Amino acid sequence: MVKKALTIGINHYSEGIANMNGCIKDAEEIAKILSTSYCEKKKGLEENFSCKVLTSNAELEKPTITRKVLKEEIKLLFEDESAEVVLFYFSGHGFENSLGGFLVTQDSASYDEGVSFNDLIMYANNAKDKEVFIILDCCRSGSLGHVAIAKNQFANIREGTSIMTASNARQESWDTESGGVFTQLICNALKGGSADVFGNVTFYHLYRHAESMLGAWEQRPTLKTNIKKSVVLRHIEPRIPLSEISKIIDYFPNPDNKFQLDPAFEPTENYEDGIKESQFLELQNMANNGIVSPLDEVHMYYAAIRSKKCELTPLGKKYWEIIKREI
Amino acid sequence: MKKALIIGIDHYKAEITNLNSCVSSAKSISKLLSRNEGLNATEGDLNFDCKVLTSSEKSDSPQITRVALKENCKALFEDEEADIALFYFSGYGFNDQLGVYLVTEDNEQYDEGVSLSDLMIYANNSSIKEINIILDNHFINEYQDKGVVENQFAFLRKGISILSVKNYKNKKTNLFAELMETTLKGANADILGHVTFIEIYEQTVDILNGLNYSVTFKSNASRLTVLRKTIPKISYANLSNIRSYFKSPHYRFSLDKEHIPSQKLGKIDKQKDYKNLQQMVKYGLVKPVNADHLYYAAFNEKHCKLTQRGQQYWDLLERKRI
Repeated sequence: MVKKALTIGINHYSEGIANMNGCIKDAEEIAKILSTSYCEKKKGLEENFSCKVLTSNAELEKPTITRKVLKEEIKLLFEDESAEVVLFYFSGHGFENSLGGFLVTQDSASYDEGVSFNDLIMYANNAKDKEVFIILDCCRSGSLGHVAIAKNQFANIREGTSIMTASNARQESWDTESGGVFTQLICNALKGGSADVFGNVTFYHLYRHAESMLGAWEQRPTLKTNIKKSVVLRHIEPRIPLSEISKIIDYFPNPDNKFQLDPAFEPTENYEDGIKESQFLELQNMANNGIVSPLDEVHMYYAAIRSKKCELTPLGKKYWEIIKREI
Repeated sequence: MKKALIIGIDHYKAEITNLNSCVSSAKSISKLLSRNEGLNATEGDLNFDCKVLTSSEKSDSPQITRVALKENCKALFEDEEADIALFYFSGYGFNDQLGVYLVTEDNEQYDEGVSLSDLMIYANNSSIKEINIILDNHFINEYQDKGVVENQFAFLRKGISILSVKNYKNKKTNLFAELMETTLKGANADILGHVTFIEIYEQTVDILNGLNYSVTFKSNASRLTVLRKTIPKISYANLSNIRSYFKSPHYRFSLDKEHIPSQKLGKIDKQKDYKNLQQMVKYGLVKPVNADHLYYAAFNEKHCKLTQRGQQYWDLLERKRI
């Protein structure tokens, strides 16, 4: 699957607008994390998103990220025919007036603040045959996707599009030396803080992570989505390796089978049965992750000591079906 | 206040094959939603105030008519007091140029049931802050993307999330409802046992998309509503130990033989810490450094550290968000 990302970080603005501190760092870090993903076969990292990073540069006399440049880059990203998944990330100033919201560019001027959210969402809504993800870490970013003509509370987005913003339509988002608070949370989530059992990180995991970290007095991240399939943005090392999960079809040849345990499975019982003990470790790991549960007992330990059985949970049965189908 | 309207229709007029799992799904989902999970499989504290409407074979006249369903939808959404509303419908869906209909018992041609457009008008105009809509439809006819609401675009007020599952072939079982029940029981809840709309979507989308179902998720949200609380995998008391064991997210905690209970070195406090750490290892919060098991890390006087997931909870505790 071809995945492309465009990440933008603007620290430097024209006179009259305060410079930002952590936006460049944010854009670079997001790109760095997105560019790799964990590969189970290689037991290491492999290529993931192909990322383009655009940042402002104080040493250049002319601004690099102008309204025209940004608009062109956004167009190229969303019209890219080779990409099946595209992600747009912006960290910089946001602005809102009666026409709607804007991503403020370096050359911003009164009545010409930057790229409007309307334009961004138009490009995104017109993107063909691809999943579109947009993450905005700027002030008043929550209005992206809103219909300016209709009441401003409504979101109108095409199927296959998901938008996450640092704050809702009326809030300021924070910028610190070490990067924006919101982006730091997204980075942590991408690194795996919120992955599922299989090590998948999806857009929703990112939102859930950021949402759970920020309290009622802080900025409120927003999520707007309209999708049919779940796209994994990045893999991390799974809590249970796939090779281990796929053994459930060996332990349970049929999803309704029960697996008989006995004290020899439990290492502390000193039966010295190496095979059973290592099987038990795997089964315990599955139990910890909600795939297997002991019958008539609360813990696997007691199920073994008392020679009881264990079985697949409803969740385990679904995994069983997936594994049977795919492997 | 949290209120839920839960509909299950199995019994239709003679021309339409009856369904056989919608009523039972509605009942078990409402049972799960009405109370959080309590300790030792008891019923926990009150959660959603659920109104369940199901069809019945015994009654002579249809129970869930178009009028009754519409009236109940209105009563659900036109509410000044409720903070959260949830609508669940399990039954037939019908689709034509005008859009999608939730098919009621008294359906007739050109009068199939309550249109999704009407449902969405009620929802979009509601003053209830958070609205969760779950549509679990067996489709009578092949579904086409038409109509105002169920088209390619999502037009949603802030605070509304919709999960729509369409099923064309399988009339015997209700896999989505089964998965939703599993999720509400806490199968893939976070360590604190919270189940949100996103867990339900995540739990079902991959499996159902491969099996002749179609799952759509539309949302315009600024927070995640906890639909049900299940028993946390780790008690808060132990979870908060993370902050005392690990001074920073990257801190390494030194272990030694005194931690291991079976070594019988009489350090009760350290043995207790070890037990707590073992539980954290179990749920992927902590891992031993340069050792396969915590036991060997302690035996060989090594360290343990927080995993990425553990660091997340460290951060949540630091921010007092738990």
